[in-house]
Amino acid sequence: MSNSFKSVRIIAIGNTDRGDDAVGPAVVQALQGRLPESVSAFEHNGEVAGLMDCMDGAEAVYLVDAAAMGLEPGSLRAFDASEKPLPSLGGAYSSHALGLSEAVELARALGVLPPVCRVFAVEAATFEAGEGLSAPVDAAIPKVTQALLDAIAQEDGNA
Amino acid sequence: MSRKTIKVNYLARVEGEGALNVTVRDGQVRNAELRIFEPPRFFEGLLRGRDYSEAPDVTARICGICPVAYQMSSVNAMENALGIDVDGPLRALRRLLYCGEWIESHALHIYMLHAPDFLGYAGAVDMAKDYPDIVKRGLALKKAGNAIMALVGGREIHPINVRVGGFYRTPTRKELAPLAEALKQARDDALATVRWTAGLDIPEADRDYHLVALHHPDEYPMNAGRIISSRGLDIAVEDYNQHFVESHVQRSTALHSHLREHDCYLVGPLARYSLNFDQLSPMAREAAKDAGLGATCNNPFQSIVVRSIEVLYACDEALRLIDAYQEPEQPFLAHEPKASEGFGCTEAPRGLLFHRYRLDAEGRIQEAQIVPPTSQNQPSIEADLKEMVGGWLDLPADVLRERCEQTIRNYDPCISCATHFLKLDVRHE
Repeated sequence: MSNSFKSVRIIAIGNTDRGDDAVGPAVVQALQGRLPESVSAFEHNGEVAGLMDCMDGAEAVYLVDAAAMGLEPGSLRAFDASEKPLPSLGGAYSSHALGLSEAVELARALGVLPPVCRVFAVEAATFEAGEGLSAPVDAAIPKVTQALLDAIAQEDGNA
Repeated sequence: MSRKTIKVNYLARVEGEGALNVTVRDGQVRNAELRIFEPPRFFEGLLRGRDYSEAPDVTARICGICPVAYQMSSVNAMENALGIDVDGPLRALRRLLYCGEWIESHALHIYMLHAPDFLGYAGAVDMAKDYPDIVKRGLALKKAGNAIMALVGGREIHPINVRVGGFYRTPTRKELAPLAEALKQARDDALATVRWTAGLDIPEADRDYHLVALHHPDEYPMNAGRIISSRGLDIAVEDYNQHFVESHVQRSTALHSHLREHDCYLVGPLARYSLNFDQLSPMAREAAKDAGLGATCNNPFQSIVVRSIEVLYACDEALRLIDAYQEPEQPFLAHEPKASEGFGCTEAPRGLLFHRYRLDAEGRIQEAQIVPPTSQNQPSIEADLKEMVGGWLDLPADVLRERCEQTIRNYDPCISCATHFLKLDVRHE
């Protein structure tokens, strides 16, 4: 799988049928036509083995996910997980499936975490089953999209 | 009277929300209660009034780890109600899909959730730092299961390709070929997994379980068979409610299931293995012998080895099914709804899963009954703890707590299926 993706990857984790968990996929939609040639963006369900595969061989990954951090819905927090562990984002709905923080740490322990790993967490209002983002999370999409574009541009500048 | 309370906020690596209270008085375990307080999810009510054809997709949503089991039990029940006999390549494809679920679910449980208990780690991430190649092997195995789910089921989680009468679309032989290549490597990894788990430091235990599983004369049970037990039960799936009863217990939002004649019983890998050893493939039987297992297994801590045997079997069986696959002429059998009642029972990775539906003449669901494996195993989990904790009372408090957690994880319980984390309270009075 890793060969089919470019070396800079935006991975949006989420379930489009679970309220604000759809924020990642919505950001990927908003990024269409706005990304440099060297960057691919795609959705992923967060399943840990598949997520490892998506990260394998990348120079940089930008992960977008809904979170329950106790902030105002729609709030954005960006974390640099390249060197140090992520704080808990409260996203592990099921302990049979690992949360994003655990997936990133597992990738680090296994030596497959890309040199650059940034996580964009958007505070969700609801994870209830059913389609549709809450108003504050929907309103946050342009902000999250711009933050991703800025981070990628800045990383390019550093390269 | 000495009294000590040991608490953990939640038990990790168990699906669902619940708590365990163990009460010890005068050196004797007086009580062990598994309380499940996850809100009930009302799937059976949600299904009422819906079209029969919706049940496989709706019930698959009950669980992200064993959606195939829910799909298969519901689709079997609907086909039983409507008099449809899915056979030949369509039946084989469903068995292949079930192999995918067993591989991915068991690999997740063995490597990510259970192995850390035996090696003294808090979880898979800590274990991965010291055993990276082992964890990578577990992830690779899980991926092989995912690949079957994606190809045959339409996607890795909550597959969408199963329908009453067959599938929406069936794969070509050419499409299955790359899967076979991946499964050959997975089979090697599964064999290595059996050898690795057999070498773990496994506690001694020998429980007098009443084992219950499906049994089929010609195949290791997944999708079909009669319900049999180690104490002589041998019934058709439609007679389930004559022998098994669910009851509400105050401490739990999940129903408890009992056998009318023998009270608690065990479903899952130990039961399947012990009641169906002869149906395993020669390679799986040989690996079991090399791992030191007999034809039956009553040590719940050895369930990690038995799951490994089942992963090996599922890889082996998937390869056999792919090799024998003939593309069906039609992806599904045509049928008409009718007023009827149907029963379906299959072997989810964590045990027997029973469904019953009653339909009206237009095929609308009038009644739905779903009995998941975790409901059936809850009394057995409590009985394990009650029986075994007494022998561990000399252990330091934190070791005792971990042993209780491990005892519950032996079952790979899916509390969400039965009604998210488990609070543990071991009380010495």
